Amino acid sequence: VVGGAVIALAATGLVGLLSTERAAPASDAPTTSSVAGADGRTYTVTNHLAKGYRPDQGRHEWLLAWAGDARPGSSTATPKLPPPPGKAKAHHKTAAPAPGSTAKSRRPSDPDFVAVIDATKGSPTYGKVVNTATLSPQLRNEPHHMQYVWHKGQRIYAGGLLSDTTYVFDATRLPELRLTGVNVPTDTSCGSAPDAFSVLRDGTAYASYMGGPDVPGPCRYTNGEVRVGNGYAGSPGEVVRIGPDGRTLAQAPAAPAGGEDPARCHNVPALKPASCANPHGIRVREDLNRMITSDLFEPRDYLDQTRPQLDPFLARDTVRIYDISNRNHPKLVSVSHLPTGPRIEPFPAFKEERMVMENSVTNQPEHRGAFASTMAGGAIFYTPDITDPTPQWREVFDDEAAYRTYKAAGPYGGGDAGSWLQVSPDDRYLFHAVAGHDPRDPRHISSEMVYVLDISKLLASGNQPQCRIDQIAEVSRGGAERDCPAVVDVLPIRDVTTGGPHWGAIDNFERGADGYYHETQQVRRLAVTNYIVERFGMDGDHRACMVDFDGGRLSVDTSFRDEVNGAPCIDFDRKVWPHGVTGSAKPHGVLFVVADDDVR
Amino acid sequence: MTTSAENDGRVWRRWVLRAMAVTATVTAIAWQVAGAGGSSPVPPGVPVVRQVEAAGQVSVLVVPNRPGWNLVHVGSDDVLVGATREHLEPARPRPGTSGGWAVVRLPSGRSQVWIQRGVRAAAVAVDTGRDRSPALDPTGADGPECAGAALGRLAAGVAAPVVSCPADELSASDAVAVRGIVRFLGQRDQRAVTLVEDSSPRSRAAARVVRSEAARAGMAVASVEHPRGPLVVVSGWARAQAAIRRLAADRARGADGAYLAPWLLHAPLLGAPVAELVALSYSPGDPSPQEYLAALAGSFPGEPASGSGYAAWLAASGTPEKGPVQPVRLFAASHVTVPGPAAGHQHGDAGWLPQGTITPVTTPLDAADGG
Repeated sequence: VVGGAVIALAATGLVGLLSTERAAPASDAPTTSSVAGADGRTYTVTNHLAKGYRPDQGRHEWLLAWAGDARPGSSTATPKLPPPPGKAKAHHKTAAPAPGSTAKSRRPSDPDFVAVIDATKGSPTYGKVVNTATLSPQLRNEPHHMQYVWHKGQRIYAGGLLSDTTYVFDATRLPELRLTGVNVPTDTSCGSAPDAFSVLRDGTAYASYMGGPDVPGPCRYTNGEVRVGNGYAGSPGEVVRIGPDGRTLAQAPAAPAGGEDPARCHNVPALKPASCANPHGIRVREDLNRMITSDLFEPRDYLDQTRPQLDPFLARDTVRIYDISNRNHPKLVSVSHLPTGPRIEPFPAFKEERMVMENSVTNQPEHRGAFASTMAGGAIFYTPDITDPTPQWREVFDDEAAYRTYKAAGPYGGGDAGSWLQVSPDDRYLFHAVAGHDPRDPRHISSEMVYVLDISKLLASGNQPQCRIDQIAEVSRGGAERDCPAVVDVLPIRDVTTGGPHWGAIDNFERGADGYYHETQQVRRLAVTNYIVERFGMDGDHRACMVDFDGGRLSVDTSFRDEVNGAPCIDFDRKVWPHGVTGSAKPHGVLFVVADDDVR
Repeated sequence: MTTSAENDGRVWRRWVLRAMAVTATVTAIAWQVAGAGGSSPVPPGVPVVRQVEAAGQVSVLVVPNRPGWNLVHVGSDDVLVGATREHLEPARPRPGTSGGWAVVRLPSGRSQVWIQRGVRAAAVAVDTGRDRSPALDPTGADGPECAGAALGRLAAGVAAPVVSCPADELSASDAVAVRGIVRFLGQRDQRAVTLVEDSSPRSRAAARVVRSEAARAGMAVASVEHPRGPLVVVSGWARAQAAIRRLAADRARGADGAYLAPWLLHAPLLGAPVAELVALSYSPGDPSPQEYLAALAGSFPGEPASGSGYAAWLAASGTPEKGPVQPVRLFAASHVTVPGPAAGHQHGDAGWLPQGTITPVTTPLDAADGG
């Protein structure tokens, strides 16, 4: 019985801490922590403090960047400056081996890691990568997102998009991290491709799993319901509640029992019933008992490289709202198709409503609204009340209006990879990162930016918003109605690769007169990373930039400099890391975090 | 039933083959130590892999490097290949593979294999010796897989002749994996499966395992002509690709998915618009498979890794898999991309499945013999 219990604990992912070692402060020996996964493997994180770095007695704020190893042939060879004419595609050539080098081995993949960067303005080590916490044994996770915002006491949830694995870290000993849980593919049999996380007050997290069940056919969720899926990275995706120990607490369907409109929701291979459920963004209003997810696309590829990829009905236009009164039983309340906008696009997949990558909820008790943004559509949508069982969504902003503030000649229109979306804690501002236009454009045409909108009038309109982008003139000038979001500032961030600023995080801390950090509702700075997903064909120049915001202007913090090349922004295309000479890396999720003891 | 005489014969044959391999390896090492130079041919019977300059770098593999018909594999499908510069033929794609393939008749002893792309030609020096290959039929459907295994050995730094091919027999570990697939489907209450097989000894043996386990589970086994339920694929690469493509084109059955034997872990077979699951006793993301991948990229840049190539690399490198032997699990193999015109603009992310992922999605399969 005892043996069975031990096996059961391991099999259900009740993670047992196998070892935790902490080196003496004077030692350079890396510290490790390990947990057993439900797959029987031991997962380990190893901290590698930068050579010569010794934690001081001062309190620090840290920027965590969840980064993957960049392989030869990726954008490691991508020029960071505009290529000369005729050379724009030079980075597509695979490096050829030297003649006669037939038996020469190439280096296998290096580990993925969390980079811990000193984000304490004024600190002598500001911008320095003081620790890299490497993961083993799983390589090539495709590190993706962590939670949107970190609060004191929370664990850190970090997803491996293509390893179907979620890691949970304890950050109380920053700059070192401790692995406290791992959620492996078999823990989430009804979904694949973990994308984003929202952490609840009790320390558990909801995660969006964008892809379909691991195995094609019927899959039974925790609540006993069954949906039929077309397999890994297909449809329908799901929502998973994960504990701070990495254990799956609940798998919940994102697809309604009766399926969805097969004319608007295509699946490859075809599903009966059809489903648009491929949740990417995931946000929670615990006070309203509501969760919202936004659907991106069915991530699996297909043989025909020309026709189906242009199928706009694989690029989702849906937003889902759930009742989470029972936290382990999220109940789907509504599935909304976003309205189409006034733009005329050459590709239907680039219409305003296509590929709803992200959403962001308001925060203040008097507000119940939420925003959603589209990756292919390049637009922002709003609904004033997510407790409404039939929410009314409206387009309230087109990215073109932001581009017009600094780019008179374009390019404009869809396909600009609108990405990270974040309402400020005080509900006054909406931040948005845009990774840039169609990669087929000449790469010297840079169209990457971060912008901030003032949304106070829109939210003040309560349940009677007037703003609606339904005229072509409003695409370029912003909405004509008085309550439409107003552009506060636009910050171009040049990236001549196939990607650009995709992800970001707001800094929700400020240092008080007592020397401790405190949470704040006023956003003074944010961080963005230039990387999407190389294996999707959308890369980036692998930089992490700090952006100051004074309430009126966004500006790159030029004091947040790369310790190797001396330039503003941290360049992950470097040779040497604290864990070794492993070369370029791809930073995706970023998060501002402070050690628990340093937050009041 | 296997007789003791047959066993004795196999033991003797294995001993002879092993002795041949050792002799060839020693010869190859001696040849290398003697400083034969990059342009001189490698010892007879040892597959030849080279990079040549012909309007850009072209990777070339000549296997088995014996008198008579040889299989020439090039890393591109726009290359002409021949035994003389005057008689060149296009290296053509083969189902379930990448690059180009040509069958070239080589004389005994020293000669050249010619490669031409555009107007640029180059020659690879070979020495086929006098003995014909006992193993490889370069014209057969399983030739490319056999060549992949040869590449695996070369990537391990072992210059050994081709004395057998993966499709010659069903290994014990592969039998376990195939059995595990069928039991898994039985446990999911699958009532029928469609068996994809061919005439190789390995496939015939694997098909017997499938039928036996299916009968035990009360599952019907349908043919590809009258399919029912998911595919269970135990054929070679060529037939597997045709069957998977047929399934992908079938709107009524596409969502059933395809379950593949371990030797079908090969990128050109994966990434079809159906759920594909491969039974493996290792994770391609683990250190050993990654080392093979890196070694293969050094030997023949751009060549997709394969389960058979990895098995050959592992055996040739003489090092056991790092870590404990793992049980058989199902791994989901899937491409991932963004819909729309942006897709397809992808970089050379070299992995087991470029632009995709191979992920373990089951607990260990119940695959014990006779269970």
